[in-house]
Amino acid sequence: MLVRLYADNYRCFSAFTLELGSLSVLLGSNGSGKSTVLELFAKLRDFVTGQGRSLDLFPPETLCRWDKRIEQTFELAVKLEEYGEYVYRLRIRHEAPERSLNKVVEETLSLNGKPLFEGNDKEIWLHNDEQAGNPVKMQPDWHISGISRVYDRNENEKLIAFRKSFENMLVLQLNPGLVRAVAPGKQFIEVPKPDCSDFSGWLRSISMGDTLIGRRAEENLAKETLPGFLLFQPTPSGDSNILECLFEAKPKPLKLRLDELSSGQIALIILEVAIAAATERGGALLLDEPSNYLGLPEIQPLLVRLQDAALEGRFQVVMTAHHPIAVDLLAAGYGVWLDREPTGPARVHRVQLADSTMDDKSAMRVSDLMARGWVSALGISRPAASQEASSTAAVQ
Amino acid sequence: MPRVCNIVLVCEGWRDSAFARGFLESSGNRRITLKTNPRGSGHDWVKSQFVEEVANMKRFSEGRGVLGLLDEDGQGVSERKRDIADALRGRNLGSFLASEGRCLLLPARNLETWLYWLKSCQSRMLVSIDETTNFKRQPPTGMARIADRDCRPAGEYLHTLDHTQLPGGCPSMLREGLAQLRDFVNAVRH
Repeated sequence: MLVRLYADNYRCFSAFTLELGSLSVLLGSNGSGKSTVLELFAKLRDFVTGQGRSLDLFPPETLCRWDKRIEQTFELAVKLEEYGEYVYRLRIRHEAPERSLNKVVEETLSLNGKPLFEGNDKEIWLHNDEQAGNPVKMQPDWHISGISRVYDRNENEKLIAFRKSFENMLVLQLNPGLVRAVAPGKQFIEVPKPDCSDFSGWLRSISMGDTLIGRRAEENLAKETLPGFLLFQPTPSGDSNILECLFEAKPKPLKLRLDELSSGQIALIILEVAIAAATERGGALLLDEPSNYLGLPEIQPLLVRLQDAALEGRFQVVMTAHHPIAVDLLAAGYGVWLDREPTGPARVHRVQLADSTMDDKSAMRVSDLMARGWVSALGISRPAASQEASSTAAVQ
Repeated sequence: MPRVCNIVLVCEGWRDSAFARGFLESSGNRRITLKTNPRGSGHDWVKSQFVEEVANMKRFSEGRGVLGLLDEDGQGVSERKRDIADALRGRNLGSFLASEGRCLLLPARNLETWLYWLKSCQSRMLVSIDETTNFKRQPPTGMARIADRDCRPAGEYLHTLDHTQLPGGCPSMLREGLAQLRDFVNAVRH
């Protein structure tokens, strides 16, 4: 489980710390940094699993605009039931931002306070699981995670388990308009891109490795989520595959390409497969506005399923939310409020309802309070600038 | 065809809802709209929302049933029942009758009493569970604390039991609650 994220000098994060539980709902105004949290998780995952280089994932534009320092620091605490608490730390120095040059100057991983992996820009030491004996020396690569380059070995099971937990992290910032039915080539896609434009290829890949995920998703879509849906049908076309969906129709089922469906239907299908994958593999499911594109009757059932999965320990859920249904259902118990001055760093507050907020039936809903910016009732102090603006308006 | 809500479930928090949904879903009822108190507890909140939802069902002639779940919390079962019956009568909504799709479950002392009894019953342990001790604070001797993940399975397990042949030691309000749930499920089926 992702327990804590620390980020310094990254976009709107300056000495930013976010604590996470089995279910965390990120709330706040536009531009407060909610989606940036999810984007950062995706980048750290891609880095640790070797899917991306520091040059591409952390270009100089990701430095805080108001900060003159040239180093970015990230720290992530992850708890795995079988081993304990890992702390992963990454420091990147932008030595020549004008030429987009950076390098990893520190990458470390510890488990329960003892080192498993210690690296800098000059040397890397890999410790075995017992954290005893002489560590193995590795050559550093300034732009690629050393942890991603460790082979699966019995002596390093604990480090591999940490990396595996990253492979099981799904970060989705859905954009159904970009989703294509055609999955080109035979490339195996371990995790989809956040916008899920490669969803067809991902579904084909996970169905090769584990047919249960696809079947579970099909079953739920047919029974609950998408009336009339029957099953997925990938159709080979040259080197590619076209993902089609079969729907009930008479005299024979209707075959529709994925990209012929509505945005809402595509979103429902992707979410269903993501939930099935997270249920099967565990790990974390991070969703940016999962209620986007969905019809009103679909929103609460989806949120309740995510809440059930998180609280029953099937997988961790971190999501951003603006929709009133999500806010009213989840903000009070699991809400984390992010805010920031227009050009300042993001700050974090745990949502805590004041005792008087919901006492009787005339009480306002949490979403109404948030819509009005009356967030002090939720235990949130507003930034000085917005307090000033509201008092100026009152004077006028 | 939109997803149509058949049952509105009003309760204090997620644990109550998971337990009730475990039962309802096992009986084939999946079209449920959930209303939980943002503060996680509150007799007044559940009472007002339960009454409001009964009124909504009547006003719009939509939905098939309202199920409320509220801890007795040492306040007295008859006191709790009277309080809500008065509120319904005050709005000309009749009374709550599970067989008419208006069901109110009142675990005494609280839901944990039911959860621990069901768990002990399921694991064939003989644990004495009374309806006055607050097991939210301390689990019964010899039992591990109930976790979130135990709530829905407890509701599912309850669905497998026959309310006319419950094992000895079953809390009286659970016995009554199961009979009501059977009536409620029958009512919302039609």
